[in-house]
Amino acid sequence: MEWMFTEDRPIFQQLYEALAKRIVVGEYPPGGRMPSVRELAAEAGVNPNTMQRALSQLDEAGLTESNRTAGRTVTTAQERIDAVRNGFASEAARAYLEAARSLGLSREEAIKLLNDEEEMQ
Amino acid sequence: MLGKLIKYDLKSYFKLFPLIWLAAIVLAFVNHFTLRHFSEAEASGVAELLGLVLPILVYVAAIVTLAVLTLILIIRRFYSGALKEEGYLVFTLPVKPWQIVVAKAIAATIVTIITSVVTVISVLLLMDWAEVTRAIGELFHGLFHNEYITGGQCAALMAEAVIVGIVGIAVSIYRIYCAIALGHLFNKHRGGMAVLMYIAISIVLSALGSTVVANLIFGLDTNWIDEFLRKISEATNTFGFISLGMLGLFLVSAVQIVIYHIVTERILSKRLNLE
Amino acid sequence: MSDSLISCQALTKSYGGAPVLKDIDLDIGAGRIVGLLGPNGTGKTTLIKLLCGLLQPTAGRILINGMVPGPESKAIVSYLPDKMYFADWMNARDILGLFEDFYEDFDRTRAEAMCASLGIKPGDRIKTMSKGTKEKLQLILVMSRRARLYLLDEPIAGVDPAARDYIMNTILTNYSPDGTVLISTHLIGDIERVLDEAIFLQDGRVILHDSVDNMRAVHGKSVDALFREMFRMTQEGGEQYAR
Repeated sequence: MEWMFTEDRPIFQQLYEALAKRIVVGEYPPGGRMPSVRELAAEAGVNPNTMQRALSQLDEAGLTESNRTAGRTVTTAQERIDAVRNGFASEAARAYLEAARSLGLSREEAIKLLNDEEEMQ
Repeated sequence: MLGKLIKYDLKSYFKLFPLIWLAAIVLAFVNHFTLRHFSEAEASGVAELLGLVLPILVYVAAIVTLAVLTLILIIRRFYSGALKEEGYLVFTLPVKPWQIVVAKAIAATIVTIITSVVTVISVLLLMDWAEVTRAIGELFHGLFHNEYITGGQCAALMAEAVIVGIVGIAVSIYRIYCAIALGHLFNKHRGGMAVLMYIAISIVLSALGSTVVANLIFGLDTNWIDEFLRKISEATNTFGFISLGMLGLFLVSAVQIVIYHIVTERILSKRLNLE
Repeated sequence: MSDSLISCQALTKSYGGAPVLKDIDLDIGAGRIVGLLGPNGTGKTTLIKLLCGLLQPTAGRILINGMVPGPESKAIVSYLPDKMYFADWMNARDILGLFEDFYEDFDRTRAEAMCASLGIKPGDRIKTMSKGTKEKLQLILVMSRRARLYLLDEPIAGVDPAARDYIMNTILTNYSPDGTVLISTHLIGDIERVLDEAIFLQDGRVILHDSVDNMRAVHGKSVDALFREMFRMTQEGGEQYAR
């Protein structure tokens, strides 16, 4: 199972983030059908109610729409998906800058490090 | 549900038995011809002697194997099939425990009947067919046409005999089941205890059957039995007399079956303890 | 609560004078996944066998869907014991046929599909199957029933991680939507995420029965951690949680 969980945060929260990231990278394409609660719960090895919580949060975040007949579909509003993606990206950037600062790097050094890393790849 | 349980047990027996039944018949057939050949051709010399003896030995081995295997498998279907791991499967089926016991008994009885019939047929096949046919013909003629019983009564007696025979097989099987169930009450050495229980039941039965005990119970000597029999033979004809005898045998078995069944069923219902 | 799926009232079970389950009061509802958690030897298997009708109570009552365990309750209960219950003489087709014959709620098509995906052919003799395959076959049979209650006794003990994933996946994918799954285990970490509720059983008594969310909220730690704490404390002779 590729689903890894940590103990520090509620599981449904971690599930939400994992699913949101899948949507953001297009693994669940815009307008496409999401798998059922059961299927996802079985894949992740979690209780279906927990998975349901995570999926509801996707609805609340505007990433998915729940329809009685059509099931759950990914939103077609690209700007919503981009917003969430940017949210994740910002978090990652903030984390990096925090880490760099705690190591004593200046802003310029931190940015240079990013460019160097990218060149090497 | 009972039918399904019987089917399930029969399936288990039929994975093995048809082959052996067939082997017994085929070997009898083969021996029929080898015996013929040698009785006609005045055999002498070791090779020919071997050719005569070997097939017979194989045949006898097959028949003995058949009998022993029948007994062993009947025990196994109950001991392993209900009271070991398979019990987890069987006792969680949506059936009542009595159905499990009865189904196994019926399946075991059917298999024993077939084995007995196969054995008899194989023996008849061994012998001279013309002689056998003639002897059977004479026997039947004598049975159906004599001064003691009519043809109809003879047929009835034969039917009674068949029933008594079947019930006799069933009671032996039920006795085994009862012993196994009693053995199950113990936590250890259940197999050994089952054997002891069987011996104990047999001792009780023979004690009951002996007239010594009857004397103790009734405080009379055995003359009353002779009186009883004489009165009956005066009151009835041959057919009635024999039928009464059959009824007696039937009742002796039937009462035992009822007792064994109740004991077994109660133990499996209330005191089941797998593993 | 008479509408509980499982109801134990003052349930006691003793073997020859030695009590294994003591005065158990328990109510479990429908449509949830419940963990029966405790160290080995605390009576988990005994409780499950009582629910199956394989054992009779020494005292007290046990009700499944309002019925005393019997043929009617067995028809709605699907049981996976911690040992293999196959008859060696059967092949896959035989055992599938047996389940189909006796259980109205058995989905043969689904079971056959799962067997096929494991590479089990109808004519395969059970005797020749590997231990792992036999365990999975038994699981397939149990989970292919649209039962009201699934009783799984230590389904993941002693299996490798890959098999464990297969087992948990099979359970989650196949249990009937309104059914309750009762999983007994001493390995809580592996299944905590799957549970709605947890029951802690110690020395034949229920010392805790709550939803997993509540337990985590009230005690501020995972059920696994809570379990270790509660049972370790008792082993050291420390304060014992009592109800």
